[in-house]
Amino acid sequence: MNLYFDNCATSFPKPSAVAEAISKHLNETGGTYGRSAYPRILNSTRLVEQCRDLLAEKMGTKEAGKIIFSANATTALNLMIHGICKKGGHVLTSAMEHNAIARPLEHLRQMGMIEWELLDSSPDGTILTDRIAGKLRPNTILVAVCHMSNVNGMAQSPGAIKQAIGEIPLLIDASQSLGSHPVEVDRWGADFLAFTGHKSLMGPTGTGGAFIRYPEMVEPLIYGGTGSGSDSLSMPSFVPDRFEAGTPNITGIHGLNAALQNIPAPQHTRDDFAALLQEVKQNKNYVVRCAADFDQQGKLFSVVHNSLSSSELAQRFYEDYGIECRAGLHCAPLAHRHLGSFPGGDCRFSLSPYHMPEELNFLAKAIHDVGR
Amino acid sequence: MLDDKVIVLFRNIRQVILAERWFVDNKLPVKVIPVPKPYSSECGMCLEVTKEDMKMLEQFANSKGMIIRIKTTNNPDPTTDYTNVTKRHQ
Repeated sequence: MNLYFDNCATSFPKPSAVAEAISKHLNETGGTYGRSAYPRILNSTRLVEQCRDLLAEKMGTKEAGKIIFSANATTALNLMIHGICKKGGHVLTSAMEHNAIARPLEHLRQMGMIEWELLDSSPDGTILTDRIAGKLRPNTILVAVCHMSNVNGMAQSPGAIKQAIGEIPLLIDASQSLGSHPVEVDRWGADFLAFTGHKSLMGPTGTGGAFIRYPEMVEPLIYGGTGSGSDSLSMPSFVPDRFEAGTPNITGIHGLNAALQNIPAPQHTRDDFAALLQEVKQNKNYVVRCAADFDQQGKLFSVVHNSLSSSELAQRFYEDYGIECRAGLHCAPLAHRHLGSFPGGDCRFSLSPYHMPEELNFLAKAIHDVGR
Repeated sequence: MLDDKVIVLFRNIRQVILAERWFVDNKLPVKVIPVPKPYSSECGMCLEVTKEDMKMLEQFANSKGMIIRIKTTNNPDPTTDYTNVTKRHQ
C-alpha cells in the first residue's frame, strides 16, 4: 500500500523511466549540452531541447525557446524577482505565498529597493480580482502570485488576474500546479512563470526553471559561460542562453524528460478525491484547509485539529498508520496567517496519481481515527 | 561528405537542434559539425547542408524568427560578409 502523502514536498514514487534515464545518462551515454558537436554531446543536447519542447506543451506556450532551466523553482523565482524589480518599484503578491516569493520580496524591501503588499483575498486565499485595480499604483512593476497554494491546494485564476492588471507583468509560481492542474501561460497572458520538475511533473530534484516571455526585462542572476557569443564578456541578450550560464543539470533533465514522456494515468478519480475531502470534513474535531470551490482544488489539503498539534498529528499518522505527511508551516507563513493557523501550522496531505481509491479510503479512516 | 555544401551558423544551440530536426523531418541531408574556427565562436555547433536546400531553410528560419548566417565552405575567409539572409532575419 502506498502511504506516502507528501507529494507536494516531492513526488514519490517516480515513473520507473526516470531512474532508468538518469542511470543511462550517467553509466552509458554521458555528454553535456552544446559546446561541441560529437555524437555524445549531440544526443544529450537533442534530449535537452526535447525536454524544453515537452515542458512548453505542458505549460501551454508556443514559445519553448523562452523556457530556461535552473536548479529549482526557488532559483527561478529569485532570478525573475531580482531581475525585474528596480529601485522604487511596488510589487503586489497574494496572501497565500510560499517563502520562495515572499522572502526575495522582503529582502528587496529591507534593502530599500521596493515596497510590496498583499492583494485582497477571500477566506480560502482566492484573490478578489475586482479589488486588484484599487491596489495598483503608478510604480507597480510586478504582480507575483502562486498558482496553487501549497497549504490548502486552492488554485488562483491567473487569466483573470492578468486581465485586471493589464500591461503590468504577471509572474506565476507554478511549483505545485504544473503537472497536476491545467497551466496555460499563453492563454492567461502570463509574462513569467516558475516551475519545478520534482513535484507534479514527477522528475528528479534539482530540475526546474522559468518561462520568460520578455527576456529583456530580466537581468541575469548568474553570469558565466553559455557556449554562445563566447567572444564577448557580456551575457547574451537572447534566451535561453541569457539565463543558463554554466553546465545545466543534464542528468536531471534526462530524468525530467523521461518523466514528461511517462506521465502515469491517475489511479483514482476526481470524485474519489472529492469523497475523501467530504469524509474528512465530517469530523468536527478538524478544520479542513481546502479551496471553497472544488473546481479550484488541487491535489492537497491540510487539517488543523482542535487539540492535537500539527506535529503530534503527523507523528500519530506515521507511527500508527505508516502514513507519511507533513506538519508545520510548509514554508508559507503568509498563507498560515491568512488562514488563521500561524504559528502552529497544520498537517498536510498531498496525493499522487499512483494512489488507488483504497489508499484514499485508508487515509480517510486514519484521519478520522486519529482525530477522534 | 555533402556536395556543394554551405555552413549555417545559428545564434544558439537550441536553434541548431531545431533546424537539424527540421532537416531530418524533411528527409534532407544535414550534418551537425563544430563551428569552424574562422567563422565565429557563436556556439559549439553549426550545420553543414547543401546549397539547394538553403531556400527552404530560410523559409523555416523566418517562420521561427531565427537569425542564421551562411558561409560557403570553399571560401572560409573570416572577412567575408555574412549573406543577406542575416539581415532579412534580423
